[in-house]
Amino acid sequence: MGIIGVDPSSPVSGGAVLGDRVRMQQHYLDDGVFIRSMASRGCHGGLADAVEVVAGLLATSGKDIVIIETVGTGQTEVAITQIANVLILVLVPESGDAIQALKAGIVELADIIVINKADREGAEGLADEFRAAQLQSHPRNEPAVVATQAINDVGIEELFQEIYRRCVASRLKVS
Amino acid sequence: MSERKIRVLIAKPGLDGHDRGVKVLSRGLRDAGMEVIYLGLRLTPEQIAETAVQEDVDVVGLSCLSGAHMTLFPKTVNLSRAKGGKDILFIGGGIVPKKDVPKLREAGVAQVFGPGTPIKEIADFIRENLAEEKRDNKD
Amino acid sequence: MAEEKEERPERRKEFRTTVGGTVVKRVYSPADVNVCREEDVPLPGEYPYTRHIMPGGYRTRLWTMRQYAGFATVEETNERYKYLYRQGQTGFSVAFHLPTQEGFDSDHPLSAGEVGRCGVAIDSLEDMERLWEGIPLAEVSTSMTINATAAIVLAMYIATAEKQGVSADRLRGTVQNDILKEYIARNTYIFAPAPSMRLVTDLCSYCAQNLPQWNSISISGYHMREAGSTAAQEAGFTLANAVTYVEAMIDKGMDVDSFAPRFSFFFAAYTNVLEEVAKFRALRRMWARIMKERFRAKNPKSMMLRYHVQTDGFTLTEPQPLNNIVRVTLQALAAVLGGCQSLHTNSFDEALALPSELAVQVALRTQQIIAHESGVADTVDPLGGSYYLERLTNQIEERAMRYITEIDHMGGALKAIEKGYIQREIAQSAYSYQRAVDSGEQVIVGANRFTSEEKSDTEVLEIGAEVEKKQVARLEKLKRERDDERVGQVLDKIRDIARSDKNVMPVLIEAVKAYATIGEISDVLRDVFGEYREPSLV
Repeated sequence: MGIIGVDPSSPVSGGAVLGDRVRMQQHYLDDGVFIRSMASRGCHGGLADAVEVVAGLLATSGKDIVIIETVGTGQTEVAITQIANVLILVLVPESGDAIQALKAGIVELADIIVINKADREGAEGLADEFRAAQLQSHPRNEPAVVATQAINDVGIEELFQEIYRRCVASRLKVS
Repeated sequence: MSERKIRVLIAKPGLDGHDRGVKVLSRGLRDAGMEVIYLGLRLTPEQIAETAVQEDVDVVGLSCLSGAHMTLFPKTVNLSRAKGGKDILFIGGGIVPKKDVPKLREAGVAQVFGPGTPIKEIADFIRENLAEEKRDNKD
Repeated sequence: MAEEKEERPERRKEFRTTVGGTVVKRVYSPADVNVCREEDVPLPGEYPYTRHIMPGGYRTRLWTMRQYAGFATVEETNERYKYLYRQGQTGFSVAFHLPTQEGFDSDHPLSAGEVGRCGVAIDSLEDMERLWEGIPLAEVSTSMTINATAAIVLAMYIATAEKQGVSADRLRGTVQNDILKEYIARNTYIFAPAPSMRLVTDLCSYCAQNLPQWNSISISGYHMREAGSTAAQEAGFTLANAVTYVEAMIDKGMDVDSFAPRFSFFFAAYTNVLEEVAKFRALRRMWARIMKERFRAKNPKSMMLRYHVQTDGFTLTEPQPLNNIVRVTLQALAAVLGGCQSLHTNSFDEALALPSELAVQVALRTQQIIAHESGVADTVDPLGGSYYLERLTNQIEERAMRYITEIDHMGGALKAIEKGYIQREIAQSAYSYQRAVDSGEQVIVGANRFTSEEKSDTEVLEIGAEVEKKQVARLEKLKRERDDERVGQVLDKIRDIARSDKNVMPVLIEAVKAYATIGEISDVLRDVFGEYREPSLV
């Protein structure tokens, strides 16, 4: 597995703090995982210019799946749709991001929507809202809303199955 | 030649949990235009070395306030070199008695920055020493 | 008559107590005091105890002089403890090395290089017994800075006392046992917050019932201050954590007056003397009101803020180390003027290493000179009534209360920690401070101003590599000689109890008596509770 984590560069200094790795400590010595942290370097689409090339390299080097974690602002991040076969939107209840996402029409782009911290209040309701939104905008696609609790390893297997299915399906489409 | 971005890995090997310095330094180097990969706490030298090579960083900054630096810093340097990170500039910080600094230098830590070092001093040191390495490599 | 009105420009555009602290006026006057209500500043010993918790203050009893100490193996530390006692300290304070604090034995891979470095190596009851060789636990007061493994270490202390023929109800002392600040600032946590809170409250309720003279927790602001918080944040965040602990105990079914009298606190003393005194007075007032109004405590002892102070380590400089003696003196003075119950003074060489014997002697003498030569201990709250101080006390209280309210709105300290709110506030303050130092706005004498070319010839304490070898060998011997089957049985028992909702303390006491090690017991708990993973928050 290859992971590219993108964090925003400071518009003032051009520097960045790349903190995506901190949460993946248990994989630092994992032979099967290659993690690359990148700064957006002025690129506005939520990615960095080099992401596509790096993703390609990782795929060519034998990685079965490459996960690209975008900067995460949501609304302007369409660049990822050009690169990724499967688009996943991760949200948590309580944050305003979820409502914003519903409004901004990101739902139309996402293949899978993940509600993390699903043990929180409002998670159920949020998941239902998104299912409804997906059915509305993607009548031809299979909607998927997965509830997870990453910290407790809940829902991760289900999420993986969803991702895997779609990856396989998209490869078949291409060939 | 355009300014290539300097990539810095900042990590705390061992059990020491004091992270004020690494957090302040991470922000400070960001504000000095560098890209800082903040790796966190309670890491083994192996984890840091593997990450340094995987992320292809220019600099690795190690912090330790518990007194375990003489064991942990050299080990991290050696492992990084063994994994292929021979051009990495190593710097250290924390609670390090002056008499340990020459030994750490010998072990591959270019400089040790004690408590209260201005961020600019560290940023300047990184720039000067990376430029030097590039010059050396050209020869 | 010619009026000479000399308007000289001031040294700075704005004066603040500290970076991010309170704005300081040129002069304070009766008007500043008159805004204080009489009920806010009654006599010492009267609710809300702003001036002191007891009417007699230091006239009846001086604060406990309690120097934090511990290094290498138990033999060296035992010697240092006896030295400190001979030099006049009146309470013990144990520094454990990081493996003990984080639930690893000295032979664990992560312990490499750490053994005996920043505290004494304690792997088992055998070490604890040796630590107190020749020291009668019935006659001393011992504070132990231990958090994630507090229950295990307290179990060892109780078992050691038992071997000395001292029953638990005679033991006097404190365990820090404050896991919330670990997630915020100190980072020696092991397990996730929920199971950790269970361990904290198990210990507190066990003490409430069996160790009536023991302070079951020392809710700490010191470490958050060290991590970069302002004085108001130190006060506010500590009390917010305290509220969470009180609520957790009440949820456990305990009456507030059954445990609160033995809740204690731990704060830093910074160099701005008057701000620190104001902070301590504000803290006493806030705690009393929180306990009486919010938690309806009836026992006045539940409302009295009893606290230990350590002079702030972050302020010590590496260059010109003797300057640190002056800093520590000012900080200790602030602690005494503020009315603390117990005090540790740092040694001047602590920016370099653990204290040498000479340096720690000077640190202790600092307290003794303040106590016996300065006169400030001879009346209670000597600065009370100062226009500046009363005004500043109010201002710090105001700012601290705002943080407490903010955290309340988030759903309490646990939620605030999970959201990263407290950590971010502290990191922001720390960064502002660094920028002020780097720009020269905040002067640090000897470091960024009044520097000198100096020879570094301070003799520092050295912990040799043989310490680790010695401790590991000792551990191996213990494991060979003890009854392994018995250990296996009791570890299983711990697993069962940890999974249930029974109090863990009794089985832990049983386990340490069988010479199960810190690492072994912690591993069982890791199995049951899982380990905490640091979230991404820079």
